[in-house]
Amino acid sequence: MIASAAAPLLRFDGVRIETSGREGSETRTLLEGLSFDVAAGEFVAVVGESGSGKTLAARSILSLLPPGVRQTAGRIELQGCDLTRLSAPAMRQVRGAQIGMVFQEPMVSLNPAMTLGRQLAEGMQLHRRLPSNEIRRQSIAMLERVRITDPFRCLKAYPHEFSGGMRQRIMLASVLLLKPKLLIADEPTTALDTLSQREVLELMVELAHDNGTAVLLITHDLGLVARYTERAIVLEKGRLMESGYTDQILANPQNPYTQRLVASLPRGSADLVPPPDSAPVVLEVRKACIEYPGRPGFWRRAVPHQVVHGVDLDVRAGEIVAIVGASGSGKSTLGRAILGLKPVAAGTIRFDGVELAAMTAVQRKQFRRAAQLVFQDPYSSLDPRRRVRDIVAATLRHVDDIDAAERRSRVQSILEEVGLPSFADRYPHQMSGGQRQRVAIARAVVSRPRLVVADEPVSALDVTIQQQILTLFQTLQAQYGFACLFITHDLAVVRQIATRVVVMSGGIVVEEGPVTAVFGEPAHKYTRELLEATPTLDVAPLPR
Amino acid sequence: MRGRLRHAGLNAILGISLVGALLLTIGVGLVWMPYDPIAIDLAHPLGSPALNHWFGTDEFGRDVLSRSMLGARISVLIALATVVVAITLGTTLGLLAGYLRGWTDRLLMMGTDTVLAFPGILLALALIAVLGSSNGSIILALSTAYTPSVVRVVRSTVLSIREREFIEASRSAGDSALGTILRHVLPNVLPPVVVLATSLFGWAMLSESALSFLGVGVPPPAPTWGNMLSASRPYMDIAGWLSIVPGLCIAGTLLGINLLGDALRDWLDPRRET
Repeated sequence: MIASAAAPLLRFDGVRIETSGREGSETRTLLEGLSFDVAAGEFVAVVGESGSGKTLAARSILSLLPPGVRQTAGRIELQGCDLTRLSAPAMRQVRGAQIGMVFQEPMVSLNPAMTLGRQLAEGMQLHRRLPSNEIRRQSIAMLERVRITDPFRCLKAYPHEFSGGMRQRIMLASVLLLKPKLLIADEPTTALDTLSQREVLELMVELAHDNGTAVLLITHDLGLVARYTERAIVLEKGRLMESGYTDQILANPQNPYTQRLVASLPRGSADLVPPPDSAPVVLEVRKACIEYPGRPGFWRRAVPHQVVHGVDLDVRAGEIVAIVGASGSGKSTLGRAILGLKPVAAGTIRFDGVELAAMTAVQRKQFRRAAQLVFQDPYSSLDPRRRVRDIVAATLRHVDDIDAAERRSRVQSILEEVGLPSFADRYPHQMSGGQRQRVAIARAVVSRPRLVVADEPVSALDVTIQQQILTLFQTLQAQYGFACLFITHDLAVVRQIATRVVVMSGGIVVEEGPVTAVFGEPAHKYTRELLEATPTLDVAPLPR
Repeated sequence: MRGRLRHAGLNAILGISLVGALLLTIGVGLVWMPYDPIAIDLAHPLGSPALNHWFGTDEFGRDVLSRSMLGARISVLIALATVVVAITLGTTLGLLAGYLRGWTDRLLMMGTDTVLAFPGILLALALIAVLGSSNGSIILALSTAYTPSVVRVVRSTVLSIREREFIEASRSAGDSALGTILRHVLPNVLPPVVVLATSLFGWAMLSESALSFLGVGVPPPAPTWGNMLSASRPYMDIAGWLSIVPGLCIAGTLLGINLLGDALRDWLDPRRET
């Protein structure tokens, strides 16, 4: 397959990318001597964590490097022609026509002010010079291929009328309309939930296969690599760690970094023990309905929009319960309501037997201390203008029975426990994503809570960091014994951390039970789909 | 990077020097001035700059240097008071509107938009016509005209900040709405407010001279840079110093305040390079 005698479609030969600092500042090497080949029609993964240089490598192919960064050595050849020597107009002929690119964020990569018809036609007018009725015919045919239900209407519609998954499919359609020889997909499904991810990727495989397009899939998700690619190259900090056939790399990684990467995938752990039946129920949710206020019209009152419809849920002391579901299933909203940050429209939420809505001021104060939240995005959950010390101490601010000295020592000791002993005086921007998430966990745990709601606490992090944070979370949970509601869309994480799982879809609970039982023999159709769509290392690549 | 830092440092030094020179002028003017700034000497009108009158004399023979010194005090006092009132009121209303939303927001925005619908100078004219011409009424009129734009800027910044998760974290830690606003929203709103305040200072100074030009500003014979500038207009070709001196005073002050404002915003930002 790769050993064909013909020249490869794409060849990287000793490519180096550096920051081009101004005079006086040192240059940093972001990508060092990268060499690899992609054969025509081949699916190759570029794997790495943030800062590995994988996106820069992809962008350098199209000379789309960000300002201040340039390629200083090496050749990038497309069918034997060195792309790095092309003039700007010649490069424009290559972009789109020969090499297409799909970006990570479908919400911003389509122009919100243009109809999709015009956006689809743009590339064809530029590169193919076809008559407009022919462009229209091809656009509609392509939209049908990516399973957009009403392609005629879609041509006149604007991007905001479609969900993230649909937009990414439309994006795919617009790129593949030009039948490029190479498709670069830069984390194309990272922003999508599991089911949409599967739809988009399988369409991509199908269409690329039909057109004979080679695909360079940039991703951090080893599950996707295993399922969709034949070969993979692994990057770390701008250096090539390992390259070869995907199944061999994943089954038998040779390089220490690759080994670490494979080992840090969450795996089910057998030694999770559910709390005894005698453990008291900390949280009791009964028939909870939650709604968002609608937009009022000029004459019309706002009609509220219900997102959670009558959910029942119990969490015992010391128990970790996972809530899984696609985006929009109402799982985060439920988490907010449980912490009293969002009122319930109907039903009850009881904490230690006391209903949230009926709490006295004193009870509410105790509740605030006993129930804590860990957020998904460590970049927006910490106030950029406060030091770590103040951020963590904020939870203790309204606790009366400890004095300032005690408060300081509690903050210091929890920072030591989360592995950041010397970080008290830092500001959030001076820390990495993983360190910020440790601070967020410290903030939640410092008040010795009885319940922690963790809303996708690891989904914004790199795989190896994700594993560290999960381990930290488990350690702290074992030590302090708080109950935990762990909201996630990642079934592998659920297997590792939770004993019981609640599956939500469309604002209702479709299935719940012990993790082993639900994942072993899913009763509901939605759970089965979710399990099937979750890529794991065990799945063999699709036959091609 | 280092080059940029040094550049920022130079700007800050220039800003501090200009504002320092202004304060020094005002300070000296409080205890000593070369001549009585309102004493008329009809024997020596429109005198060129000379050793006894450094910046010359105006059409009534009054010493331009002395008038500029007193003018500094009055102009800066009016501009400063206007900015302080507009920023304080505007920030408070903007925080309330942006954070509380709902009816508070709607009512406040209705009021703000109504005021914004009038040209600022027209509104100030009308208010002064009602209140009578005095320093106090000029300050009141100008700050009424400027407050709405502050409310708008603060409110829109608050709208984006209140959706950030650290606001929710603050609420879940048990902070009251007021506590959250003061501890987490206000500090993050400050950078645009500081920049707005410095540019408002300039506008206030210019508007005050426009009001003087229209005859409803600080009443003569008291000098302000604005009314000195407008009075100099007929003599621009024969006595250029009459326009140049107050013009330079206004330009230098605005430059100093703006540079100082930028430096202040950078110093307040924990993300600055250390």
